[in-house]
Amino acid sequence: MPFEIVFDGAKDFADLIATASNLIDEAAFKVTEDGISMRAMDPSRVVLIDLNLPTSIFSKYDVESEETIGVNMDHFKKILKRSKSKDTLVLRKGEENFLDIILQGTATRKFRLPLIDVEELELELPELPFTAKAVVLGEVLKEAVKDASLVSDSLKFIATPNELMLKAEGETQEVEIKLTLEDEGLLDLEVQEETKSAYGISYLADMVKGIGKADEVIVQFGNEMPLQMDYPIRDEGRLTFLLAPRVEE
Amino acid sequence: MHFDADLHIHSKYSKATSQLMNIPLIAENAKLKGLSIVGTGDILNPRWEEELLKYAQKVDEGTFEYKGVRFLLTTEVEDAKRVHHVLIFPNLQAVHEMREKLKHYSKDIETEGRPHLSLNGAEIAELANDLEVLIGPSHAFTPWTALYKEYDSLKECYGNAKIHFLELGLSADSYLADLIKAHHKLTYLSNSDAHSPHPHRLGREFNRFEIQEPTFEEVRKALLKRSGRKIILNAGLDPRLGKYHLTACSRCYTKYKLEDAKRLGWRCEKCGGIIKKGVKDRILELADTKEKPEDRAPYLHLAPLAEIIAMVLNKGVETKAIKTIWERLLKEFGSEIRVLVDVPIEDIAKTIGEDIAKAIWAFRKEKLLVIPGGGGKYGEIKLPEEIKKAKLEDLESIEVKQREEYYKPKQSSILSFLKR
Repeated sequence: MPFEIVFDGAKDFADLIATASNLIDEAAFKVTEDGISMRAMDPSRVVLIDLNLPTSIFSKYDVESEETIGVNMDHFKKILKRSKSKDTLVLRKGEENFLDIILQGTATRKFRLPLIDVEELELELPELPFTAKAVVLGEVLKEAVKDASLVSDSLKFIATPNELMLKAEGETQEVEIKLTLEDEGLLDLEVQEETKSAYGISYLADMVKGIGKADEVIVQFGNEMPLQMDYPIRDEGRLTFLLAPRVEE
Repeated sequence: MHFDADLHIHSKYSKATSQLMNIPLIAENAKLKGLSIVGTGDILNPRWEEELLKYAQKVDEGTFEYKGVRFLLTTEVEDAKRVHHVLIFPNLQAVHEMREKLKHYSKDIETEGRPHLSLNGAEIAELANDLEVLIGPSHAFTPWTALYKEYDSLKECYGNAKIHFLELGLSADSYLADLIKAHHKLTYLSNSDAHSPHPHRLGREFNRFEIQEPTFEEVRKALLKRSGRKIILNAGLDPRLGKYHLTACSRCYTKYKLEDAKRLGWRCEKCGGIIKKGVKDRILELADTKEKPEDRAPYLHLAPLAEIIAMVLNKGVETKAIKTIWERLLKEFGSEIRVLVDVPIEDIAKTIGEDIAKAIWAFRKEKLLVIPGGGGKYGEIKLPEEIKKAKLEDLESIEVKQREEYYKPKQSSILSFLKR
């Protein structure tokens, strides 16, 4: 069941896969006539990753029939890392069990990645009753995670109607990051009620590692509920992380 | 007649074993412990065989004696999947033939005490069956080197080859092992797997045989339940004191409930170490019956006397002070098992004082606090404060509450928020 898919700006695709691969070792990508999707959980069952890339974000999308391909994320990431920002990425599969990854730039470079058997995750994404939603710049999250990791292994997200606060408390030290709509880093804030929940720093660090400083990230959470982070990809695509909260003591 | 036997120990030729594991010291300590029969361990090692023959007299083809202690020809081997098996040989000829055959499958059979073989369990058992060597799994449930870390059943490991017993290991007892129906027809062995001759190691688990005389042939009949010979008592550690009883981190020993360990992907939330499945959880996973075989020998829970004394005096178990008291009690009452089980508490109090007597009483009544072992760390016993303070005559009225403490992970699972 062959397909050929072309994406302009190979580097962006590489970053996307790099971000997802921080938390998972292998993934099953579903290639359908509507686009590419992938859903996976990290081995400790704390984070769910959901990737959705509609056909509209690709410059060519030629898929004969629906197919699921399993890849080793680390190998996939390393190959894509060899791309330059102006390269065009071609993902091609023939009848054989290989994925051709072609980087077209000053030369045409073709890598062959063997496909593997990966169990597909039969999970529906839940509609969670989030009570806080914020749009923040990638830079804010990246810095907050670094700040917090100095003092603790968890980061509290606290939302009130006018403010988003990120707070980490260690045994002796603490750090607070405050954001209002006056700040450049907070682009939007919708809070139904005061909302508070804590999340593991190591997971957050893996989730924000690959995002750009200027990327706009949608963060949603509820009291003792998971935290959902959405990164829009070329407007219509989306990478979503759903992170389980820490248990309140 | 009754004879107590410890059929699985190691010589000084095995890895991580005390240099004191030589024939005279093993015999001396076995006697103090009250053991009539000890397995030589490591008999496939030619130097250990030489040492046995240097000291011990031959009683019959498969039985040797040194200073009143009988030695049977035994060894433990490690198979290609790192599963351990105990072998008991009928005679030296079988030892030599086995050694010759295994030379082709082992690089260290001449030097190690417990050789590593490139054969699987079924292949080793078939060789043993051919030479009429008795065989069974070592400490069947432990998580690093035992049958049930690799397989879900005896049959998966041994195929159609015959096995003659199952060794329980320190972290399990007959009650737990009988939860698996396939074990019901097998005799259980409770052996120490001692790596040193110290009184809290050698004979810390033993088997009481009802046999005519302490020889290989009589032991063989008992293991196969023939001619009225049998094991009438398995005695050993309270399984909670074993190193692998509960599921726990192998680095920091934090204890986890099975479901939490699974959810954490077997990585410790506190230190990142590998979590090892405990014997209790492994057995509960495989359990398929609540019935008990009628002919199962009772299992007596023991705590090493030296550890009880060490607990009361708050000193290291291998210190001279502990050894002195231990020897005094044994001199007065004959053997460790008599002190632990039979001698009236008042008599012990008169010999050694009330504190140790109260601790032995608490042990007998299962009123010591037990902090279960796991992840490779032995469990600990503690004397409850209320028993420490009580007078000897008031002990009966004291209630002690046992607690099992598990770490509650700080991280929840995303699964609890998803629709399946």
